[in-house]
Amino acid sequence: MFREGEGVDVDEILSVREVSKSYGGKVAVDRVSFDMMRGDILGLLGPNGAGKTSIIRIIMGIIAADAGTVSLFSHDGRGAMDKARVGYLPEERGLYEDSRVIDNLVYLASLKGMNPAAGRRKALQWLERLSLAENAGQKLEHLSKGMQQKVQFIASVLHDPDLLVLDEPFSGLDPVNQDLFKDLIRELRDEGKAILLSAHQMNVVEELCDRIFLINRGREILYGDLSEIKRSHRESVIDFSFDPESNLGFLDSLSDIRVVGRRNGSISLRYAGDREPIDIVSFLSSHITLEEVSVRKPPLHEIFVGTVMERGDEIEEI
Amino acid sequence: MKRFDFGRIITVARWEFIRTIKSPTFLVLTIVVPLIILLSGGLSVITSRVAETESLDIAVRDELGDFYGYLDAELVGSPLPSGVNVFEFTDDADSAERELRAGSFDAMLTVNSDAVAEGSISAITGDRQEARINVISGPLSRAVTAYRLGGLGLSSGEIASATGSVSIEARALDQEDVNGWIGEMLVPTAVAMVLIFSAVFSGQIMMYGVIKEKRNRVVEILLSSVSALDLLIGKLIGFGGLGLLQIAVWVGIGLLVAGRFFDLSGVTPSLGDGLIYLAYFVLGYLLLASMFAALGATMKDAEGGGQVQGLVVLVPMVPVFLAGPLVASPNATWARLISHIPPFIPSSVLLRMAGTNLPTWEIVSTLTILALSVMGFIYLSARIFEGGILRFERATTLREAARMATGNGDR
Repeated sequence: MFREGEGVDVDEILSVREVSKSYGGKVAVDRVSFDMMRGDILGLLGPNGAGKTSIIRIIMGIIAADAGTVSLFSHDGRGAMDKARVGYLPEERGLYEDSRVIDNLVYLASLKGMNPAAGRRKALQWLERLSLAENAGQKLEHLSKGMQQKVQFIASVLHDPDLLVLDEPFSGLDPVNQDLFKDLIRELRDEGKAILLSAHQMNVVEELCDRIFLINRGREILYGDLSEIKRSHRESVIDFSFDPESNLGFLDSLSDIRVVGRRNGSISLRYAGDREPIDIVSFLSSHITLEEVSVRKPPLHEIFVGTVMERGDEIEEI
Repeated sequence: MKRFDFGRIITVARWEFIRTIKSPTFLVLTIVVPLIILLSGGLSVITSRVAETESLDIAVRDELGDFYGYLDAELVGSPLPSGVNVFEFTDDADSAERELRAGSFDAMLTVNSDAVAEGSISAITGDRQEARINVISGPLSRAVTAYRLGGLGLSSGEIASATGSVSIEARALDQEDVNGWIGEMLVPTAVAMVLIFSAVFSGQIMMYGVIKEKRNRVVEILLSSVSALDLLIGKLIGFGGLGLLQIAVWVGIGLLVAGRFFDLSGVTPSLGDGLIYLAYFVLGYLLLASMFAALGATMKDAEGGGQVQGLVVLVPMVPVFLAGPLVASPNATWARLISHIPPFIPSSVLLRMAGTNLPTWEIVSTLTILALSVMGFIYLSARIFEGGILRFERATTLREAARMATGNGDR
């Protein structure tokens, strides 16, 4: 289900077109399409069971799509050389625990087509960088979970791939290592690598991704530039604080407003009308004395839930 | 048509070979187990030889008066093992028993007219465990027969002529020389067993390796770099190499130890026979190991693998349970028939080769069927392997495995 990609932009790394996949009649991926360019960080987002891992496995050639095409590096992606240009950190992690760290890394680098000596050299550089040089000769089972996660990450980037597919890279990581991984991902993006980042923790992904592909029950919910998606989302969140003695009866005259949080002296409103949020703030200030005001777009998670609800879908595991 | 990536196949094979050769399971199976078996076998040979050198004095009380002469003549004709002494005791029964209690001799036989008539001679031993008294049963039996014939008036020459032993001296039609029991039967049977067990052990180690890769999730990373078919073939090659190494070690240790006890000159198989053995081993191993790999891919854990695999192992092992009849009647129609049923081919043919020289047409036909079925098995196993290897949450059902094999399963 891969296509020949003649005449495609040389910066195009990945093109997924109308890809579908079912398991025993149950649709896991339903006509999904998206593209990735060099230097992109695309967030593949959705709840557990939304179809993210199936899409990733199709891209990696681990499973076959029932329909649609996947084009890697602007040409037929079935060849071994294409797999060598892709790095993969699967959600279901694992290495050979009874083998040495360095042996694991050299073996996986060899499978990616690297010369074993070059693989060893590069592995030692990465281990040094992630403060694991002293553990190179140890069996993996003697390392902590956090250290094993780092080794797993090294295995995915060791062969200097052009496309890096990271499936839930932050799960099980402590905050320090989460920050470390975020820095590494940004660094790899700056080197021109395309990074497909799958996660269900949308707040974490919001920090890193330029573009997102939101999926639910195998179908596209939102796709595009993250800031553009947020901008085009009608709803705004207005948080303000005021004198607690103020009379708020005037709020009932406003349509398209929902009070979503109320504490003594502060309120959080959702506004989805045609007027600009600043007009609402002016309206508020004409009735009460505002002490603090902030206007923002709702977090991605709420945009996702709102969009799914608008479509009449359910957020449910497949 | 899928393309093979030989570089990656070799990388997988090398990794599996080097990793497994260092594993305790392989080391125990390859070196420790055969050493224990050989040591226990060697010990039994040594103890039996020590037992043979111990003396055994048997006193014979001849109440007939003229029987001992017949026995003596038999003992001259067929000497007893060294250390066994038979002599006539001429005193009465009470003094004989006293002497026996005093340890002057180890056993006492009493021969009288009833004993000769009934063919049952009473023996008293000083030690309840003294079973070696039976060494005299052959000469004693012949002496009784001769005594009876003498009673009928036959001369000693006529008796010797009537009771002379008969033996069969076999020679195979196409063989100039017969090496004896060890060369004819024991060595080929042992080789057959070694090949069969090595193929089974290698296949089993591979299956548990697959289950482990599935359990620790490393398989998904592997499949992001190498196709399921290449991975399977790499594993088959790696573990096949281990099987050959295991055979070399077993045969080496076996020859070294057996050479201490037996004369093995002239029992080494010819190059042609060796190549035929090797062909059956390699193809038989590929057949079994591809089955085991597919089985491992469908299992969720090693415990499940153990149960089902135990049943699958039994199928190719069926001829081993029939080893005796196969070696004894290698050209029977039923033997020829099961030698053409794919899972039974390697073990049944190797065992039959211990009992006969198989005709060329049969070697060609069984190897051809075996080679074709190996290709079919690898193809089907690869499909099941591919379909089952990423099912982490549960084991694959038989129906699902059948759908995978026929190309109708999820992939």
